[in-house]
Amino acid sequence: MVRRQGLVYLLSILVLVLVWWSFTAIIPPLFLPSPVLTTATGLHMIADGELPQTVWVSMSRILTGWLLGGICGASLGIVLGRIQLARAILLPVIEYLRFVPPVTLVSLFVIWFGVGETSKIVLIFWTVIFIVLVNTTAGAASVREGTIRAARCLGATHMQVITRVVIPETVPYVITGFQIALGNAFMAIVAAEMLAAQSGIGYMIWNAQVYAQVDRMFVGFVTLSLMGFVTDRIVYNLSRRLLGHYRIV
Amino acid sequence: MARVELNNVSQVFVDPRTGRNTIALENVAFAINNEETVALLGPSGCGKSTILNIIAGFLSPTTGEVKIDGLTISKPGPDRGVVFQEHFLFHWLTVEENVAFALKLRGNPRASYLPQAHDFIRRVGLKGFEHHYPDELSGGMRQRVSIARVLINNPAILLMDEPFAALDAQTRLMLQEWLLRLWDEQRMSMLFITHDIDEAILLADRIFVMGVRPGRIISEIKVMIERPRGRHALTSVEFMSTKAKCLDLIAEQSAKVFEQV
Repeated sequence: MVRRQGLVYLLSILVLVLVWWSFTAIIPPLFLPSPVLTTATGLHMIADGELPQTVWVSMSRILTGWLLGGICGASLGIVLGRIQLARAILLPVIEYLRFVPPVTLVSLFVIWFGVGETSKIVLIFWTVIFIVLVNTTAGAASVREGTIRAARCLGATHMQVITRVVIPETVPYVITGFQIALGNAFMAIVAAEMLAAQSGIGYMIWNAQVYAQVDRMFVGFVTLSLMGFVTDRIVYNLSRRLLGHYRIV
Repeated sequence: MARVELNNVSQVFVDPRTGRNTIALENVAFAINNEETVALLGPSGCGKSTILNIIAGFLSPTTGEVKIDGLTISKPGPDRGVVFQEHFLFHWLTVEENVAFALKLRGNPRASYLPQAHDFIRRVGLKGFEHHYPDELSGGMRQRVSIARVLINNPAILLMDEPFAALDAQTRLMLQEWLLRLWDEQRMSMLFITHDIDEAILLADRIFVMGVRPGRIISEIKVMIERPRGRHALTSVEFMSTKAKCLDLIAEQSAKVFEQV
């Protein structure tokens, strides 16, 4: 079953590549480089160390911001999900702020935090925190009263109810939040690197456009989707292996 | 001294929208003695679960008080073990970890709580299932785990809120007989809530029949069937005469409700 699924996966990617290839028969390589040309450029960029370096820069921005934002979002979400007063005070603010698109904040964060790494990490943090927060709040609020009562009558304090019942019950929501947020983190980082960076995959694509190196742009697209796909799979498999008994969906 | 004592317990619920009061319980008073099983028998909406929630400490009564071994209670505690209609087991923990939950809360080391948990798992007949998760068990097994989970605290009283109501008839009878055998070994004091007359008679030493609107105890029936009991008690003469008494009382109540509607 797993094998067949893997085969279907491979096949669908192959179809995509074939479609891409067939288009290059009509469109000149200046506008649409073929898969072969893209691969050649990519291999060259790997060989001279440019691509690995670029991937590393973007990945470390994404992962740092994603983890920090996710951990803060999850912690705050538990509080909001369980404490009515906290929800009443903070939810309106959060509901307002979370609709400010991260991309619009790139320039502001550069002014506030400089052109270095901090502004990018803060941007990812901003992108991730609300997604994980909203998910976690929903999860923590949906823990059933019966489960909490069961723990209380076994001798659990209010704090123990949070650590031993609410948090384990909320794990699936937190994981889903982290997974969704990862996709958004990729979008945000590329935008940030295109607008205000001297390194990273977004900058690489932007720079290639300036010099009309479409093949280098395509290397960027392929690398980005590979990075996203691989990271998502790692998160998926790791969360199921480590937290499988928490009913992760 | 009685293990559980209710004095003048009343419960009034206020509808937050209309502001109208509903008297859920009116002047409920009774005591449960050591090793005794008391059944609260009544239709849904009569307030029997409200009584259990008050004793458990989940709900504060509008008036009156509840004493456990002579001490007035104000919040839930391990001296009162509650078993619910739904099992409410911790699905991310194994049977062993569920049963040991209360001991872990108190920071007991693994070496001390594990043998105790295994002992209780054996007592509820689930030896060999220590490392299973609740999702992998049948409904009857889950209820036995939730009973073991509270028994490990050696509670003053076991509060059973229709624990077998969601099971099929065969499993229910099996668990009723199992609970009677468990009582023969453990001699726990129990408050058993049910709307099933047969279940009340089979398990209880005394039955409090409840009336509705407002919820109150209208009659106490002593069940004289000898222990140890088993399924054969269900066809005994004593069982039949007790059941006749219960049916009459319930019919009276139903007629009253019927008139009000």
